[in-house]
Amino acid sequence: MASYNPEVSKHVGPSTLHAFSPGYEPDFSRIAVIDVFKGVAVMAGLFVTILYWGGFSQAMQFSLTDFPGGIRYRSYAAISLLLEGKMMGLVSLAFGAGIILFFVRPHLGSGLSNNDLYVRRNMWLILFGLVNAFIFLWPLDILFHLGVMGLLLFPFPRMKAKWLLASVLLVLVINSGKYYWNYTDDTKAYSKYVVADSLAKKYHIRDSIQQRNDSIAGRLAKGKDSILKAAHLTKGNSTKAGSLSAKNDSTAKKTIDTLTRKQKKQMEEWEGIAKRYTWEKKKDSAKIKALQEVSYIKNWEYIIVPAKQSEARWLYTIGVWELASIMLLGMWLFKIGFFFGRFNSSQYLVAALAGIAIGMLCGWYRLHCLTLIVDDYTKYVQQQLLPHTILKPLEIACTVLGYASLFMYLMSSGRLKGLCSFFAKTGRMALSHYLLQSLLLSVFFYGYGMGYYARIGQPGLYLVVFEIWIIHIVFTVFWTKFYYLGPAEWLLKSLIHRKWLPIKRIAEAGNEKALQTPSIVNHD
Amino acid sequence: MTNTSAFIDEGASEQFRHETTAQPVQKSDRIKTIDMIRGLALLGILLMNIPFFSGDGIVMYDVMQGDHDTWDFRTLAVVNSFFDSTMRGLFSMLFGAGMLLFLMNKKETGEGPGVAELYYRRLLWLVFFGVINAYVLLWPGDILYTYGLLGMLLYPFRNSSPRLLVIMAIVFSLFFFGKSYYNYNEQRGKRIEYVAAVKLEKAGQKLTPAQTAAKEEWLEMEKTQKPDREEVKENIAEMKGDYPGVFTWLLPVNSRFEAWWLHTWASFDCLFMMFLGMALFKLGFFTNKLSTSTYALMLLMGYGIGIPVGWIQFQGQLMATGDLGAYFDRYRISFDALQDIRRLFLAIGHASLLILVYRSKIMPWLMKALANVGQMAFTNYLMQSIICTVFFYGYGLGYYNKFRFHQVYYVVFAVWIFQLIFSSIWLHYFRFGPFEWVWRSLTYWKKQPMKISNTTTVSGV
Repeated sequence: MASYNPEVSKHVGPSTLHAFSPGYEPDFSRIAVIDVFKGVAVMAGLFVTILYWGGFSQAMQFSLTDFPGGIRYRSYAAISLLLEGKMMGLVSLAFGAGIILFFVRPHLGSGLSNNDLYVRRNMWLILFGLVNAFIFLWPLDILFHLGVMGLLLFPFPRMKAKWLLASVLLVLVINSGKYYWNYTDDTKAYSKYVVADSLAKKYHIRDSIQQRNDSIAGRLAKGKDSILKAAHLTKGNSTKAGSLSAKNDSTAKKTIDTLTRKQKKQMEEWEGIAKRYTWEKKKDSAKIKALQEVSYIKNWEYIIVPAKQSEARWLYTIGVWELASIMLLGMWLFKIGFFFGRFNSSQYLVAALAGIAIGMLCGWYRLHCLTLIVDDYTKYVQQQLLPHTILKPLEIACTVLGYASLFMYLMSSGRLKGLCSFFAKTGRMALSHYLLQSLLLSVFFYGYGMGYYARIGQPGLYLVVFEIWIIHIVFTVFWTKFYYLGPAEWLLKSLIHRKWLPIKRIAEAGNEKALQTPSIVNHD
Repeated sequence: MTNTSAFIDEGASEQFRHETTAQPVQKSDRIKTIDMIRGLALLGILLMNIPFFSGDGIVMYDVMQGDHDTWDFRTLAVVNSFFDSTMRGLFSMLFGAGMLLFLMNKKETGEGPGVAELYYRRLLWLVFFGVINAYVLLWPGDILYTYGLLGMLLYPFRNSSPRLLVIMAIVFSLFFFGKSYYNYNEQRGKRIEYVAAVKLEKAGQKLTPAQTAAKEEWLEMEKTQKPDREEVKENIAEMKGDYPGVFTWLLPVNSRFEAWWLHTWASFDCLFMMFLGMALFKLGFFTNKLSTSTYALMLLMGYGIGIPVGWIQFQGQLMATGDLGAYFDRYRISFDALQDIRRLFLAIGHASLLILVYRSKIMPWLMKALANVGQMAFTNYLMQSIICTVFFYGYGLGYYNKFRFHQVYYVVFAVWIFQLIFSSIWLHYFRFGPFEWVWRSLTYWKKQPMKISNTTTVSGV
């Protein structure tokens, strides 16, 4: 497969990274499986993101759990179990393995060192990501994150395999820990709420007693008043003063007994948290209005908020760990020769089944807890020690490992050859496919384009996925017939090397044959 | 002297030893000027940080609002117009220059980690130290985290021409300008709508719901611009608490800062200066390579433009703090647009002045002491966090929010004197500052020699 790319020579000499497990000499030309991951992820991942694209908000997704028997919830749950986070994981796995691959493969052409090319690639990826997020208006872009992670992980490729594995485990634990700490914030907020709430109730009772007393006193005074009025017409003034002083009294008591500002804030804080999992139509409607507006600027103004949120906040709190764990896993697998058929096909099959089974189990727990949460988060916080996301890092890691094994099994046993080769082809131009998706869906959904945002329901959105798939398939089939590289890959590579690289297939007729039949891993 | 400084790292001196071109200045001296400027920047940074170590931001606000004929106000005026963000700017410039020194002077050996890998390891550890500085030493204004991450973007530019570096700096500066203009305009738009609504109301017309909403939005915004005394009280009480209390209180502040500041502002603010620093380094500005008249001219230009612009910007700040509405009504563009110009000129002015003083040999002892501080910049930066947090926060001596504004600058002077003396003594016995040593050892993943007697390269300290 390596020959598709004019830059990559078929055979790679002794590598500069000698940290592979002993006695194992990898063959770098057989890495098509990494492309398969990317191809699968870029297409299947659309099932997860389409709901966000189409304005089927997360709160609405959560509300599906109200009818757990329905087909809508079932399809949502199936996608959540099989794909959510895992397709991103598959991309991360490919990216992590790709980091090492990048350093062991010679890059011909511009005279820049591998280090330079690597850093440049990641910096351009960051820029591509910014374009994707802020110009194509896809707030959940991942190219930015991949670029940042690529720079952060620069020092890791030379690490020994066992230390990489240790890092994977450490990062997984940290990631789970962060979910747990976030949850303890909620539980703490709740306990503060309980204290403030009980005080508020106490005050309320006292106030209402006070009020009743006041009103009795008032009525008495009034009765007295009328008698007085009847008797002495001129004494109105004194009673007025009396009622005024009574009013002053009651307000004085109130200021002593109401909650402090801090307590009020604490109550509000928890009330805000409790609402997090409920679907508020009003909140959604503001977003829908902004995104249906027939103005690119108006759409843009709205989109940059979640885009920044994703690039700054999410990456900082969760993303860096979630991505690093799977990327390091990819590096580790690369080093132990996982992608080069180190194991035999039945071993891969066992690993696939085990990984997916454990992943599904963790996922089932997550969805089960999610149902409880959506039902009543207060009750969940009262009763549960752990957040529903506590096993999510493990779930993603296991499932991704399972999928990777599954594809290794398919490729080493030669099953579904045609499909695998199609996905490999797609994966080789994954960046182009990914950006194409953004372009198409941005025009399709936002107001500046066709404005279908929030106008298509959940089943309809899944239909859109299939439509986009058709475009992907056609794009892969026709583009690879004429060109070596996907358009975005070509642009990226040209930018990295600072010169326009050849892209047309005719340019190198000698490679023609190898190109038509990409050799996939063929274990003997 | 064998000069391996904090942000430059080793190899720097090597380059200058091997350089053969005739230079007017002693070779070993050239690197010294970098250390000196870094020392100045490091000490200067405390000028800007101390108000946030020592108390709530309300202190500054009150000084701005209060009588202008006080020492508090005079101090604030000088610090804000003359030093504000110029010291960080200088520090960023030298960070960029230091990265170049680190990258330029190492030979790829083919064995072990390459230069690039060491570079990225070093920065990753810097990020880690930044996190420690923020979350453990409890200094939310930490800059190491930001530098570590942004430094990762400088690598491909190590061989770039000064011209390209200046262009990059301008690009980031323009982004900064564009962003602040956009933000200012957005807020100003609310004010304009408010003014229009009020005008209608006065004319006796009934407002549409949208107009009422716009009016309320502005009033709300105006309110949030003013400090909330209740919140200030709470902050002071919390900062006077014990360590777990302060830790918990600052946790959201730290995470918000690290997550957001880099993405929204720091990347433009710091990269602008880093790229400029790289360019100036390549032009020989920091390494004492230019002629005295050039430095004098740069001093004249730097201060000549920087000081008036700084004063104007400070006046703008005063007005915005006083009456934001009037400020919006009057100015189409925020005074903050002057920020980068001001910083640039003042930073160049500071550096030129220092080099001129150095050349005139007026206070050689002070220059040497500054160079020592600069050589241990990393240690001294972290030490400032340690000293100030322990001095001001509740779990230490608890002087939080106790001093008048000008009084906290006595603390600054005390810290300066301490750091000048401490650095000189330390470097008499050791090759690096203590934290530099830790950082180096972690980067190379090997314990580094520390005592000066261990090394054979010492010559003429």
